[in-house]
Amino acid sequence: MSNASVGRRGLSSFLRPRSAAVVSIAAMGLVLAACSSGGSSTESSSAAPASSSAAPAPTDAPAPAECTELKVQSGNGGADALLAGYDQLNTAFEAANPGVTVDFQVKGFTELVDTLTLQLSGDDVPDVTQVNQGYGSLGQLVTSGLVQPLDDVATTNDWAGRQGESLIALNGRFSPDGRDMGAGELYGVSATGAWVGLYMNMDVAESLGITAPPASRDEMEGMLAKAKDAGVPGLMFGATDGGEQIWLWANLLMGYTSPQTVTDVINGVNEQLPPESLQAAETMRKWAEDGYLTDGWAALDSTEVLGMFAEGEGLFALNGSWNVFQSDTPEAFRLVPFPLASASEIGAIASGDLPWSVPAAAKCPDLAKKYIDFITSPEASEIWIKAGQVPATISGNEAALVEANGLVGVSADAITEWVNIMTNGTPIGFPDWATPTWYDTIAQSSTALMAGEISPQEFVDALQADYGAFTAERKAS
Amino acid sequence: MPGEARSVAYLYILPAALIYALFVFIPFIHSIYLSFFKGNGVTRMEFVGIDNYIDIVTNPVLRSAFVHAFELIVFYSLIPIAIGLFLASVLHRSRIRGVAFYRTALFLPYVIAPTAIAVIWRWILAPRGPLNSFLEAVGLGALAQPWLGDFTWALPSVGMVGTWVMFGLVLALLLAGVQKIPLELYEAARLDGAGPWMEFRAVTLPGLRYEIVVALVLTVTAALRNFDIIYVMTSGGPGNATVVPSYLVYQQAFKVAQIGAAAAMGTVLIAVIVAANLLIARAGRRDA
Repeated sequence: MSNASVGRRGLSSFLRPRSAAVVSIAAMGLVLAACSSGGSSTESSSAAPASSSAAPAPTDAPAPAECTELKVQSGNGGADALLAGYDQLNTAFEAANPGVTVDFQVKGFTELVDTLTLQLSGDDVPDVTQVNQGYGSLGQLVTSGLVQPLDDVATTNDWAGRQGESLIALNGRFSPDGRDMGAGELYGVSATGAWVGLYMNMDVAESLGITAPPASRDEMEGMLAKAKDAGVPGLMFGATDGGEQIWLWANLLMGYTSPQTVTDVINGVNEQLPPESLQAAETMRKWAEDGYLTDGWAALDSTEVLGMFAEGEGLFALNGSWNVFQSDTPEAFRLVPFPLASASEIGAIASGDLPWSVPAAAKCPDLAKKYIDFITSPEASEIWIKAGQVPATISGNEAALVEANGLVGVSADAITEWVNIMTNGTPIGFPDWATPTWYDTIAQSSTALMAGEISPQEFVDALQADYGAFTAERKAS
Repeated sequence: MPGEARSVAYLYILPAALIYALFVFIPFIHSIYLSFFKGNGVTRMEFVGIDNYIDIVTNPVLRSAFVHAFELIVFYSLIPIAIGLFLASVLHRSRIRGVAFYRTALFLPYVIAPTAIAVIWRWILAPRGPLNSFLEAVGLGALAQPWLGDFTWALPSVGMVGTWVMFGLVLALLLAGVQKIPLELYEAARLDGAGPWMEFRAVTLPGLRYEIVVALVLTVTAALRNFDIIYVMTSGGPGNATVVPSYLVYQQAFKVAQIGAAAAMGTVLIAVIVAANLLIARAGRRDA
């Protein structure tokens, strides 16, 4: 975590409009090194015109003769461990499809997202590309007709069975006009997972007489109070990036309502936020006022706070599975879903990394779908776990693979608790997908709320103003 | 012949004028044009008249950005000039050995890249940074703050960095100015029985008028268009406690893709800076 100071601002603001995947890029501990290797992307396509692109074909049909090269575009630049996994999968894909070579091009996240609309509306498009979730990104591509549905291959090969319909829907489903997120056709699917959970230091817990992670929010509040009485920071918290406040609010709201309600909020089903939004705000305020958070939280950033936590400070930390850290005492740390109202309910911000899509103008759409199917297959999970990544697809062998690869502590939890959330709970998306400006709105308002500058009602009003305006406009468009 | 000379002159300035037009003037006009639209700059823009400007007046966050910019003038401009005047008059009265060294040392912050300055100060002001450690070490732990995360202290903290940066520049300007004031004037003042204060008011201050105007123009402009220090140190936080117009221009143009709103903000900012400079120039002339 020593890179905390390196361009923190640049990094955090770079992360701001997005959430999971970008953060995961940062998480790999690699600064924004411009890894976007070019490669010669401009080869004139003498191949068949794009007339075949619309015609879906069964994926197990042999690749058409002209499709000997598959152009794949990733936005994971900088995430070396993740890219190492893709590298292995590409080799395996080429072995399984003789005569086909994968031309895997890597861009940085911002580079990908900023240029995607223009790129995909041109002639020379990749066959497969990563896209970004949310109304501002994938939604826009769907509206403009720049990506094609994957429902045929998804149905044939039962992607919903692999990843669960909830995860499939939140990462890639849109109405064909792009106006409604979370339902409709499937335009993208993720290969790896990213989720936000509660990091817990079990050694500190033990010193406080706590033996297991909290099963409910009430229990967690009791533990926070206990920590405070003992002079231990309860929740290691850093607010300058904005992410932690957003996650905290969404997790609390999920506990006061249900994961489905928060999913509806993210998808913009209603123009009104649920009334429990206020309760969640009041709890955030209370935790800050009662001194449950790290001293100086408003001036600390997420990375440095997690670094302090990894060095043994504090009982809990709220952070992403993409930030799992190494430790001299790995067994001392756990990563579990944030507790909701009771132990019987499990929900977490848990989405896939940048989903994979097939551009409408792709020259080899069938081979493209075959590729996506391959990297999200249960067989691919093994390669992902070997690379220390969280596979989005559940194979059922995770526990054994985690053990076989010697993963312990939070590195193991990142994978096994993902499986737990997917099989026993409900994944939700990142709240900021709901409107293009919500990330900043929630981040700024919640800092003011927790610092006592504005009331919980004013906080909710600020969120509602942004949310209501965008949602109404979207529905009316 | 005279006519010919004039047209040749136009030819001489043509290259510079072209470049100026291409990279400054036309984009500036275009950005004023864009400020009447709503949209992300890629897809079709919707004409909204002066809505973006009305927003700047009515939206409390946008308005507060200008309030913050004016508060920063105190730190970037008034405080450095006040200290500079004091030191210039003192240094002038009693020649100190090694003045050149002090002048260089004090001027140094102005030539360091603002981003580097901001990173250094963010570290100094961090909750567990040297400043708080120092306060605790000398028994003033109660004064320790998460400076950049505190709604009351964040803006003054950023402002003090501005003071630190600008002070050296102002002092160098004023010292140069004070040295060209004829010593006879001071002698005359002293013969007339003027104390240090009268001497300052009657001789130093009028003699430094032009230097003060230059210092005001430079520092006020720097305060109003401040971006890098805010961006690196606070990104406008906590909440909106340190947002300034330039930061909002960046945020709206590149983060939330509201090109029209960003253009309107930029246009107003330029208008404010031009107005402030006209005011300063005019005040300087009147005094003369």
